[in-house]
Amino acid sequence: MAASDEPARPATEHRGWVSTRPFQLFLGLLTLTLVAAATAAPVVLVVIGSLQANLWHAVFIDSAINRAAIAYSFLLALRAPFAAIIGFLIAWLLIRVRIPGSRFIEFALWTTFFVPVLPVTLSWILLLSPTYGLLNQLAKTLPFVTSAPFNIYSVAGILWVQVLSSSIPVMVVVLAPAIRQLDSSFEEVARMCGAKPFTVFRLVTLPILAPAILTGALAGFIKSLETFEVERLLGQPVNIWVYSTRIYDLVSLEPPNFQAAMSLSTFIMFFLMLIAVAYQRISIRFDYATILGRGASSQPLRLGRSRYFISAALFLLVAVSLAFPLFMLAVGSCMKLFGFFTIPSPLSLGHWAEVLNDPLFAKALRNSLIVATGAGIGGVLIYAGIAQIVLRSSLPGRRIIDLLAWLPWSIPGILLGISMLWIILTVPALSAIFYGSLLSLILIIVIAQMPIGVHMIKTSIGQISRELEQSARVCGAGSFTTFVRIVLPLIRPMLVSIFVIVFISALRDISTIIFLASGDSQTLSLLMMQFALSSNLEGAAVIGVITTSIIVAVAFVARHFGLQVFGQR
Amino acid sequence: MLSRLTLVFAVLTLVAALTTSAGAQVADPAKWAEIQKAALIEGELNVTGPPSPPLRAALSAAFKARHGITLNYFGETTGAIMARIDSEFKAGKLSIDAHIGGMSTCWVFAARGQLLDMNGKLVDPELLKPGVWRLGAPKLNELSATGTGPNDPKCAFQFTEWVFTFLFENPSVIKTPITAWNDLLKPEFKDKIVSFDVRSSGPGETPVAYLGKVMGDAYTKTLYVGQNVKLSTDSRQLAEWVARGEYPLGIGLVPFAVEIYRKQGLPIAAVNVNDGFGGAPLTGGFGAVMLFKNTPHPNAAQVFANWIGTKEAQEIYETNMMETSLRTDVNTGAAVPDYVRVNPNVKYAVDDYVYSYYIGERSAHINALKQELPR
Repeated sequence: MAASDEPARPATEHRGWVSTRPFQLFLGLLTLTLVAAATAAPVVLVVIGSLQANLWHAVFIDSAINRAAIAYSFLLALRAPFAAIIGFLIAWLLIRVRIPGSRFIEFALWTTFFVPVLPVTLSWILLLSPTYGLLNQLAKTLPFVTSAPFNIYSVAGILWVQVLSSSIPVMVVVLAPAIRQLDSSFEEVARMCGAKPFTVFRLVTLPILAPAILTGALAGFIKSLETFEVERLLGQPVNIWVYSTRIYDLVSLEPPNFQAAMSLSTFIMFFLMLIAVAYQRISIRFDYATILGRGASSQPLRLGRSRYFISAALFLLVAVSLAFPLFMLAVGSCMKLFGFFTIPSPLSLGHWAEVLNDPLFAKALRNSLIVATGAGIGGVLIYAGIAQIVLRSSLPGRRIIDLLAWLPWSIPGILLGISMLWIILTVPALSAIFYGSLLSLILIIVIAQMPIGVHMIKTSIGQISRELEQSARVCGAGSFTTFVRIVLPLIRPMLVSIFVIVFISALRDISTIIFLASGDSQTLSLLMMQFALSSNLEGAAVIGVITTSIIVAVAFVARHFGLQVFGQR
Repeated sequence: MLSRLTLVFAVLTLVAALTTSAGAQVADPAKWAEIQKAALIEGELNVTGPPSPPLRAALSAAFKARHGITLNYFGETTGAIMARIDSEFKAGKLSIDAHIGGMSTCWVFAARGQLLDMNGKLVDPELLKPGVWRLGAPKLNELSATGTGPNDPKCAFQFTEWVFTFLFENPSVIKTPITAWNDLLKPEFKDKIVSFDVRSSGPGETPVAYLGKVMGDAYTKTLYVGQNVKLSTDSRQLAEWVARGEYPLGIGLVPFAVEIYRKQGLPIAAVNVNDGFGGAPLTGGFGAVMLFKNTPHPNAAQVFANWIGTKEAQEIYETNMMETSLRTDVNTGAAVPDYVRVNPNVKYAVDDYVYSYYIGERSAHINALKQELPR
């Protein structure tokens, strides 16, 4: 970073973030090296691992399941662009339109994203199983219904659970900050010129926020290729295979077939990198600065009675996507047998006692909080630094850094984890610092969440007009001071969102950290996995309730703190 | 002449079999005391094993109380454990001292040269008292095809042996008793059977191998493909499907998942088929301990390997894992369901934990069916 006491130069000389040539070169190379080491090294290991004679033939030509898995993965991932549009509309309504209960609804959608997906899926099975699903049983009592109308074990079932529990909520989480940063005076000017609301939305709001929507949709698309639990529970029994469940199968073999998993990943990785390059080409065409030096307006739109209908529809969405799963999670943790209400004395606190008395619980809780907080804070700072370099500097290699930042999502978490294990074990200095410690878990989470962190923060920084930074420089602030005093406060809502997302990911992650956690650095998520693997779903639900409570509390505090700077928009 | 040769051969075989069980284990109180002393200095050890929180908690507490050594137990999936140990071993930084798991895992570790020979590792005099073990002595399994003689290298100390009853039914749905394997081929059971996925490592493989041996590979093809058996890798989901009657027949269900429902009075019951082969194979489940080479706490690991065979540890293990101990003095009663207990009046023709069977015939039957399933 440049020193904060760097002398002021005329704004015209400061197109880039850092301007001293040798220092710029050094900083560029250093950043490139660090980002490459963190992101490309594990991916290169995966590619090398996939290069074996006849392996690709075996994985793709000989395996009908693998081919079907890739096809199903892309089919199911198509939910991401639709979810981005719906999520954007919801976020826009919540922030830019005066709707009753908007703050509650937005927070509820945040919370939806945090609820562990396993009990959510089990709850939907309980409702929509073709044999014993409660809704199907209810429907069959109707005179004109002869068979179960719903089947959760289907493509539609998978899409339903994923879209409600994850795809839409996450889009609201990542797009809301971008909408908050949008100066409403743009829209007001358009309205004053006679444009109708829809025209304003189509011609002003949408184009300005297109980069954020595009980034969110792309991130959602890539991430949805990796989702796993829902597809395994709902898809596998009806032979719906996806890329992630195939990877799980291959690494679950005894011994694990990492080579085949790596071949499958490499194929997907090349495809995703093509998308990333295309995205980069498209995104540099946008000029979408919305935070200008003249102050911002944030007057929400006023609707007539339709605001009550919109509010009711959103409350219904919250009820279906959050209230029901939360209820099932809480009740499930207090049941002798998850989902069985008809057994004698179905409720019991025995599973709570079992979990809370587990000697590992306190240590796992402490470890989880350390890892989540460390990764959240460290990640946000690192991502913001990288995003600023990519967007605001003329450093050599910044475009490559931009692409490299997508890499961690190009391979599944479990392969990223095993690759990092190999790297840490092989390099003595890394081994001494990281192996077996919580630092290794923080490191891998920061790397794993780099794509969403860097690229969403980039969209926020891109919304800041350069004139603000140039003004700071004219007033004598150095690059670092400008970044810390001007840029970071202006993108605070996005930083808070990213902090919460990374925090949650750290708290929930299993596959990425499993190879790096030692007996001493086990986390709540790994403890939850142990309960789930030993078929104790109720114990896993108890940890799910505890994890969700922590996340909701942290999200509440973080949002409150993060939004203060902008007032309550 | 021929009959005399046969008799001599039979006697030699019997002697070999008996000595296999006995292995090269000799009680050595002085050595045992020395190892315990060194282990106490090491102070701790790292053990991987089945992901069972109650087992972890109980073993750690009891071992600490008995020997004053901290047991760091790390439960993961077997695949993850194998990957971690292999990576650490190759880097020369093994952190795991011992592993509790099945013989398939043991033979993979052994093939990679990562295990110590278990011969001579059991020195606690208590373990080697007469009458303690059902087989006459602690059971040490062969390392590979090298041999089963007393001085041949040994892979693991197997401390459990139980009957893998793999077929379960929902008696409220299945009204006509299933008495023969061919009953499963009846048209009314098409689309009504679930199984642990045979294409994945786990409890789906053993039934296929057993049925392949007893009924032939054509039978398993007709059953799994013809009856359109639904496959899953989630043991709890499989047991729930049967208990709810969604699929009234389940193959490859494991006791710890079945008992969750059975203990609550839900309709799920083991099916016993009298086929002349015992009705089900014998297995050791997760009940074997193996020691790694070049570990950070070799003495503590050896103390643990001896301690896990004690009555105290076996009661903990049997209670939590529902796998019956090979010790004669361990009986946890209702903690273990009857259908896993070895019936002394039944001759079990198939033992999953015999190397030659596991590598040869068992694999052949499983692969024969895998060829017929989508890959």
